[in-house]
Amino acid sequence: MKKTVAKPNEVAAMDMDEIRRLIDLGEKKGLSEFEVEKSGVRVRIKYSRGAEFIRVPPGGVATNPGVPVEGLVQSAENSVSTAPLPPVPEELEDKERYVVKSPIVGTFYASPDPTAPSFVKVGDRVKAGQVLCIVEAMKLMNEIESEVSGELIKVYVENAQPVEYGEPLFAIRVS
Amino acid sequence: MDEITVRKIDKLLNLMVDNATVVVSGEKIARELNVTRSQVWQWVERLRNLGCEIQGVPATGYRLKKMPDLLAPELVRRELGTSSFGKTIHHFLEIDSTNDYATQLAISGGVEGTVVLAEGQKSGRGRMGRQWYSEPLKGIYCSVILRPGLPPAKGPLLTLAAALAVRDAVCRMTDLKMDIRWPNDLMIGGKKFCGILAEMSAEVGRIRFVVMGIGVNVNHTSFPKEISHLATSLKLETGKTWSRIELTGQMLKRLESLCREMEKAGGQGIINRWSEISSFAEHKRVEVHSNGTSFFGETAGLDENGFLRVKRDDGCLETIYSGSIAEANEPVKES
Repeated sequence: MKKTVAKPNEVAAMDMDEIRRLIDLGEKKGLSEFEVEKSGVRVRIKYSRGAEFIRVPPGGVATNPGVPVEGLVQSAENSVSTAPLPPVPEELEDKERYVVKSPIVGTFYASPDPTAPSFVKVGDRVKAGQVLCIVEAMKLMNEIESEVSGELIKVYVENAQPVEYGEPLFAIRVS
Repeated sequence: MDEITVRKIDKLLNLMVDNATVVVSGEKIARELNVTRSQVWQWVERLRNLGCEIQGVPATGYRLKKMPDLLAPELVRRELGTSSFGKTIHHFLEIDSTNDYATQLAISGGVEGTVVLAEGQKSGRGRMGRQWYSEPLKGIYCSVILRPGLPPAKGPLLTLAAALAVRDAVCRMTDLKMDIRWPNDLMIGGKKFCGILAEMSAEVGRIRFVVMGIGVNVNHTSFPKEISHLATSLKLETGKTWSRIELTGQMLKRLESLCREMEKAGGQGIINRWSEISSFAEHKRVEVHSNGTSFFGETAGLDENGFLRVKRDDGCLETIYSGSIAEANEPVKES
């Protein structure tokens, strides 16, 4: 989970898009924490790896599953500002990192049947159209295909676990 | 038998049906199927083995005298009237799996209502790689391509609609008392006679297609030992042989109207009807096997997605997305 610390009323001075780019950059480089100062605005970004779920704060900020942001929590000395942040648009998902989400509520299966090997594992090269997993609800088997080609870099869900609508299932580094 | 052979035998059958009661020359058949006359003769033998009464007219050709209850597309279509489901029917004497074939058709653009029927399946599937026992000529092994104007979240509800469609079709023909075990097993006297397995292709926000696989045990007179305590057929329950053609037609018509209803009015109507019919909807003591665990509880209705709510013995309310439900055999504990 991350926190962005800034002077709330000056966030606008540093463009939201710019902050998003910074978040993605740090994520890609595998940084655990970094700080940037520009035009008197200081932003510190802290990552904690291995987080599986994204919690959207009430009244929430649309989070981008690709980058598990726990909202962009503003905290400052005079942190009374609870003004809603502008929603993070879908484009936040950067072009190189593609997140496959579940189109239905159901049960996640990593393999076609319990005795078969997983469709894919981290490190695999996947092609667009390749089956990545099955999400089942009420004997409706939803084969989830990759819409992009690239390297599978993350599996968010364990076999036979329930998943929610829109929940991230895989991350793929597009190539 | 390879697929081309299967298709050609099917074409032969349709040729015979189209020209029933008249003599079709062996030469004409050979020409249409692009095979030799001796090949035609072998396939005619095969159809005879399936119960077709085909008279060989010396030096001329063949005449179909009697057709068994084969699910020949023309015959099924006669049952369908003006329905749009079943306008295109792919019929096989034998196939690996109707769902696999229908999925391929759907991927290459097969339209809504396209139907795949087989007299037998070599690897009929159930959930999680289980087998569906598909005895040739006895059951209905059917897959239908649906392209509903529904969000993917409503896709699973279509499997309840399919179970209702088969149930309604059987109701029209017999006076059997049926139950539906969540989500979509049709039961008579605690034994299953119809199973549903659907495959969906969807993206976030849109269903590309659903292939609805329906297996109905119609005229089976026995089952393998391993499943005989779990499975039954309409014939075993009534002692009568039923027309698979009529039943197929009825269930396709009903499925079409239930799908239309869902598109127009949403899924609540399906959930309500399911709940009226199924003894599993409420206050049923069940054993739930889901996601590698199992527990006992009492059913507490369906939610708006058709998911089953079960109140566990420890008081927790669980919502079940997938898995199997069995009527609990153990007596309810007295408190």
